[in-house]
Amino acid sequence: MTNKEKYNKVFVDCFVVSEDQLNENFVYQCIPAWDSVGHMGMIAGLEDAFDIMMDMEDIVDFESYTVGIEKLKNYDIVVD
Amino acid sequence: MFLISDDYLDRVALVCNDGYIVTYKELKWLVNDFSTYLDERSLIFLLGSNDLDSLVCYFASMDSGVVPLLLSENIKDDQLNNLIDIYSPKYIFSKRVLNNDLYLLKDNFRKSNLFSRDEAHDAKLHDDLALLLTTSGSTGSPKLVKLTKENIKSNAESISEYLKIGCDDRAITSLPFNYSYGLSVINSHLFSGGSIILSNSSMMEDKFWKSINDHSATSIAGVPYNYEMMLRLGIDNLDIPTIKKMTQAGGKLNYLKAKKVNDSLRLKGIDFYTMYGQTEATARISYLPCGNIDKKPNSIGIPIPGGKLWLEDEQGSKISDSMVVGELIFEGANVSMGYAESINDLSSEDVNKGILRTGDLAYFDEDGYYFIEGRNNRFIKVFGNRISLDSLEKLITTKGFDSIATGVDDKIVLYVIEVSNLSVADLRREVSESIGINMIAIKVTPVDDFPRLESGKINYKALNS
Repeated sequence: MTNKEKYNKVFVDCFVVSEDQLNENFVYQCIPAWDSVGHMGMIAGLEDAFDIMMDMEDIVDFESYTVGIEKLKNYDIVVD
Repeated sequence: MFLISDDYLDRVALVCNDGYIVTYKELKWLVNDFSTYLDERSLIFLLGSNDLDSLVCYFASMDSGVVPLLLSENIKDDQLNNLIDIYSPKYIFSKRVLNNDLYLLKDNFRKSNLFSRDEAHDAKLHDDLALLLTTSGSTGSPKLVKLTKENIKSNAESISEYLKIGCDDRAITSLPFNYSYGLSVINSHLFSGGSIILSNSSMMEDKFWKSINDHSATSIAGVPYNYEMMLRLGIDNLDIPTIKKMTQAGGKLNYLKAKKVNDSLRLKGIDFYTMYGQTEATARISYLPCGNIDKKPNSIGIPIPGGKLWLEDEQGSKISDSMVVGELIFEGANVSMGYAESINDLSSEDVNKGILRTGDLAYFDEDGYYFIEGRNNRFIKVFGNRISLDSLEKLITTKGFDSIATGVDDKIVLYVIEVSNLSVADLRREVSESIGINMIAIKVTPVDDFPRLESGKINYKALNS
C-alpha cells in the first residue's frame, strides 16, 4: 500500500466515509463521527498504520484531512 | 440569587468563550433582567451549552420558580418533540429555531431565543421541585431526575468543602452543562465565590489548552475518556502551570491509568481526585481523598461530607462486616425526590426521603473505603454518558430492528436480527447520531436469532461469549 492509500484507509475505516469525500473540506466536526472521540480514534489509527507516536501539538492542530498530510511530514511520512 | 452569596459581587464569576469577563454583580443584573420574562411557576426546556446565555437562563429560572429541564443544544428534533409531547413545557430556551408550531418567539436574549406557548398549561409542580435532569439523556428516554434547591445547594456545599474550593479557584468547563457532573463543577465554584471559564472545546482542540493558560484555570474535571485523551496527548508534556486540581468521575478509570495520571500530575504539583456519583444524588456521592490512589486502588473512597454510605444484602439487612458485597445505599441531603416519567409525576411527593439505592454492588475494607464490584441494573457508561440498554433497545425498535443491547463501559454491542430491506451499516450510523455517541463505541452484530434460556428469557451469557 502507498502512504496515500494507508492514510485514506484510516479515515475511511474510522469515519465510515467514502474516499471521494476526502479533500480539503473534510475537517474536524464536519461529520458527527469526527468529534473528539473520533479524533482520538483516527490519531490512534494513524499511529498504528505508520508506526509513529504523534506529539500533542500535532494532535491538537490536526484540524483537517489536508492539514494532517502536513503534520505527518514531521514524522518523515510523505503522503502524495 | 440562588446559590450565590452577595459577598462576592465585585469578583469575577465567568470568563466567557470570547474572553468577556462577567463579575458576580453583572451576572446578578443579567439574571434579574432575564427573570422578568419568566412570569409563572412552570416548566422550561433549557437547550444549553457552556455559555453565558445558558447560565443566565438557569439562574433566572431558579430565582423565578420556573423549573428547567437541562438538555443539550444538539438534541435531535424527534427526541425534543417527544419530550415536549410528554411534559408540555410553558417555555423553551434555545439558540436554534424550533420545528414546533405550538411555540412562538417571546423574546431574544443575546444569541438565544425564549419561546413560549399560549394555551393554558396545567402541569402541577410539587412545591419543592426546582430542576430536572435526564437519566439516560442521549437515548431520548423521558425518564427524568427531580431535584430540589436543597439538593443542589447541599451538594455544591459538600463538594466545595472536600475539594477545598475557594474564591481563587477557577474551573474550565470540560463537560456538558446539562450533565450532572458538568453542572456540579459550575455550581460548586460559583457557590464558593470562585470562577468559571466557559468553553465548549474538547481536549483534542488547541483552543481548550490555550483557554486554560490564557485565563489561568486552576481546575479541570474529566470522565475516564478525557483522561485517556490526556494520556494519548502525553500527560507528562501538558504545559498547564496554573492548574492545581484535577477531578475524575462519570465512570471508572481503571487503576493502571489512574496511577499513571496521578504519578504524572503529582510531579506537576496537581492534586488528583477520583470520585463517584449519580445524577439521582444531584452529582456527587463519594470521593477518594487525594493521595490514596496507590493505597486504595480502584476505591470510590468515602462518603462526601454530610453523606452516609452503607451496604444491604439481598434480604435488605445492613452488612456490618468488611469485604462482603451488597447493594450500595447512600443517604444525604443531595438525594433527589425521585423520577418523573410523565407530567403527573411532577407533582408527586419525595419518594426517596434522602435515601438512594444506587443499584451498584460494593464492599468496604477495614478502613471504611468503598469499592464497586458490579451493577445489578442494565446501565453502562459510555464516554461519561449513562446509557440505559433497555432504552437503547426501544430506540432500535423504532428503526425497524429487533435487537439486544449489551456492552461494557465505553463499548456498546448490539445484536440485531437482519431485515432484508434495512442496512446494518446504516443502523450503526443512525444509532450513533441519535444518541450522540461516536460510532467507535458501537458494534453491530447481525444474528439469526437470540439465544434464550429454557425460561424463554434472553441468555446474555451466550451472547457475550
